[in-house]
Amino acid sequence: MVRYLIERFIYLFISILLIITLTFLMIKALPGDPFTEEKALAPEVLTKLKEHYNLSLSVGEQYLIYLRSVFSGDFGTSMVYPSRSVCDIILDSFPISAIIGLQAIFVSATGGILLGILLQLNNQSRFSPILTLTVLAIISIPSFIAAPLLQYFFAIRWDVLPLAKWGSFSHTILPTLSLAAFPMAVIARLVDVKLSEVLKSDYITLAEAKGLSKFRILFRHALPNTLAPVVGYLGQTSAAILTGSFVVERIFGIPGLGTWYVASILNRDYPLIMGTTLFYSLVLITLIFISDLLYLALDPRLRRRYE
Amino acid sequence: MLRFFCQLTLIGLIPLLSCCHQNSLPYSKKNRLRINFYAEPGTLNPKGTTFSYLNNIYPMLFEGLMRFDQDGKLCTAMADRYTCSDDGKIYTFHIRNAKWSNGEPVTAYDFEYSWKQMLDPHSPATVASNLFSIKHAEEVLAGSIPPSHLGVYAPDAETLVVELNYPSSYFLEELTLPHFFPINRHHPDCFSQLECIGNGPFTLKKWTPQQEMELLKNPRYWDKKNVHLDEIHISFLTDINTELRLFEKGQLDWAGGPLSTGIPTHATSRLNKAGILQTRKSHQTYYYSFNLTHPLLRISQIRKALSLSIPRREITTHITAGNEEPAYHFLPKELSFLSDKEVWLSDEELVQLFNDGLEIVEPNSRQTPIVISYNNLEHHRAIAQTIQQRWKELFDADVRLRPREWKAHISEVAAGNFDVARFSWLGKNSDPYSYMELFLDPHHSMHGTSWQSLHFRKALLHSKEAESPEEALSSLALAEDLLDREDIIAPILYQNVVFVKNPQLQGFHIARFGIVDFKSAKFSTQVEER
Repeated sequence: MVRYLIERFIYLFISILLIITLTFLMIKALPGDPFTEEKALAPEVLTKLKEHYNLSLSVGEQYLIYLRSVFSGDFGTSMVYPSRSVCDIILDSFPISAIIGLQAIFVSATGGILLGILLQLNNQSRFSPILTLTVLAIISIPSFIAAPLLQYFFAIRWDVLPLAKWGSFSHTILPTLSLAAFPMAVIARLVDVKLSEVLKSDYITLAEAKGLSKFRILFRHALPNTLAPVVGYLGQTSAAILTGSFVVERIFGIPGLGTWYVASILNRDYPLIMGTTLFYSLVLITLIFISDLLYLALDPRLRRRYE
Repeated sequence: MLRFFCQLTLIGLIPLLSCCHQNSLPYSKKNRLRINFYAEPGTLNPKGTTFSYLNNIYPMLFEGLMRFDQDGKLCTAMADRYTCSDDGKIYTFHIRNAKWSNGEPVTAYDFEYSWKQMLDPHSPATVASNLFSIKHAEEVLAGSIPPSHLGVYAPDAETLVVELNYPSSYFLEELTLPHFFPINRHHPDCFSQLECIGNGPFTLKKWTPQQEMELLKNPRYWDKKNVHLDEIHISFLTDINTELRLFEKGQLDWAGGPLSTGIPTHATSRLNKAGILQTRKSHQTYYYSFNLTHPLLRISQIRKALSLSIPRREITTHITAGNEEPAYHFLPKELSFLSDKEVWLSDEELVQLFNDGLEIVEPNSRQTPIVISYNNLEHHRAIAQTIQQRWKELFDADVRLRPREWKAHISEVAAGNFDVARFSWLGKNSDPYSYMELFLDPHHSMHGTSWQSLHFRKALLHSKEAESPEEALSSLALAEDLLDREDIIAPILYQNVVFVKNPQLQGFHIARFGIVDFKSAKFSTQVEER
């Protein structure tokens, strides 16, 4: 177990270093810079500004300066919002994205599992095609269409929920739903497929032969074995959901991390691009790590390999 | 079993649907203006102004020497009177008895201090070049002479003397722009989210990053009897569709330009038909520029044929649909010296002109594709597609489209990697020079045509050194004629500021520079006739 953890941490460190290097090189390769403006800056101004931000140095030197400051915990200051440090921006906006993200994960996981079971139990009934179609429809509707549709019905037609902006719990419902829809449908499909496989296995037949209730068979015996792919899927998706979806945040005007992430790229706000990318990858790597640990907890065979 | 799950799902849904219905803000409290910016301003320090529409925050919190009133007349503001020397180069302003929002008096020293700050050689303002009309501004910025030699000095607290490089009748209107606003020299860094010391009609009450800003009427403002709004709420939503929906729901008093990027293309004609779409003229020209190093676009007949064949009326009526006027010259109608008569050629004549040009081209490069680059926004795409189709049908040319992200678009054009590129230009004042100066640099990022003409250069620069105003005008007219004759760009339309507003909102003014002033705005009980 300890060996496993150490191995994992080494990988984590290497990936972070790789991500910093690649992101750094990629943003330098992007056409345009923070000072590319509609009205070209006077050459004198441009030179002075570049000097001020160390941009007149060679890429290698800039890279070393950046690495040094990152390892001393300083991510710099936004170039567009000079009064805010990159850390402040991430600490301010991540909780907002995370609230919606956690709600969306909760809704998609519970909703998806329930829907998956429902699909499986009904696969012989006449509702089956309707249910399957619904799930497929949810998978195929992108969030930039789902979100305005939700806005139209809940905020304009029936006027029960706020249209956009951020504030109370009611502001989080529509974004949560539009964020949760897709993963929920995917999870439902995963559970449906896996469950049909598990329900055909011998130990379920045995359980039925023992005369256990259908409920007990499903939840106590069949479900745990169907959850492995769901955990794996959630591990990857959670990172994207937690750090905020740009599309959903933009449509609902939510001041989350996703908005900053994209704005920083459009503004070529170098320190902020680096900071948000690094933060995103940290969250992603940690969540994959956690889902790996959950795999271990769910599957005794994997555990044995490391003992 | 199934019933159990249905019940479970329903129980789960109940709290979700019935949850707190305390959504919308109290509907339109009297005298509170609710507007939306497409992005959050980077800083409230006027030194941080950019070239973007976020500049709209500054006239609320600050005031320069001059200001446009609600009818668009240029009035004195922080200056209560001014004199101008006979040669038109030296302005002397007498500063009004006014106070900063913290109670300190606004002095001429504040103006001197803040303009020198803009030109600080160590960290200049992005828009520092806008102050280059002041004597020695360029040298001060370059650090070759000390800031004390700048053509701005305050002999006493009430007098500000400004010396210009050349006489400019547009200097006074430039003083209404944020880069000429003062900051309190005793508190030069007081622009945090908690406090902002300004001298404008409103003051900052609260700023929640990324969410909203609340402004209150400034009780210390010198002209507070003409300020009718008590509060301004500014939210920051990027999505223009959401913005319009909020407006239609009554949660915003304004949607569209110049505060955000505009009204969604699909909604303009609907709003126009409903009679609520508002349009105001701006001096902004929308144009396509031709890369003169392209084997086909090198030929002036081909450029002329391409330019003349653009279906301008079709574009303004069906695509932009905001009462825009088609453009036939680069300079805005009001500033142009050329007649705005539409040059019209029949399709046969256009094809003839194009083929004449094609004769000169080497045979093996006659099929070179023409690529239209534009920044990826809905209406730019629609315009490019219309023009692509027209050129394809008429000239049988291989026309392709290349959308790019904005910053990539301008830097690729500056590097010369384009054939035809979309742009729009708004001069910094209503001097024709501020439009044509673009073409002094053959690789300017807003055209990149690589066009060089000694005659044009001479004529344009001469307008600044001319002895008399008449002479200056005639050399500007000559420069415009030289520019127009070459067809190095194809003007398409004159852009308008397009927006919708609360019908009760009146008394605001939109300057040609795309800045809206809410100083004397008010909600009238009578709905304005359109």
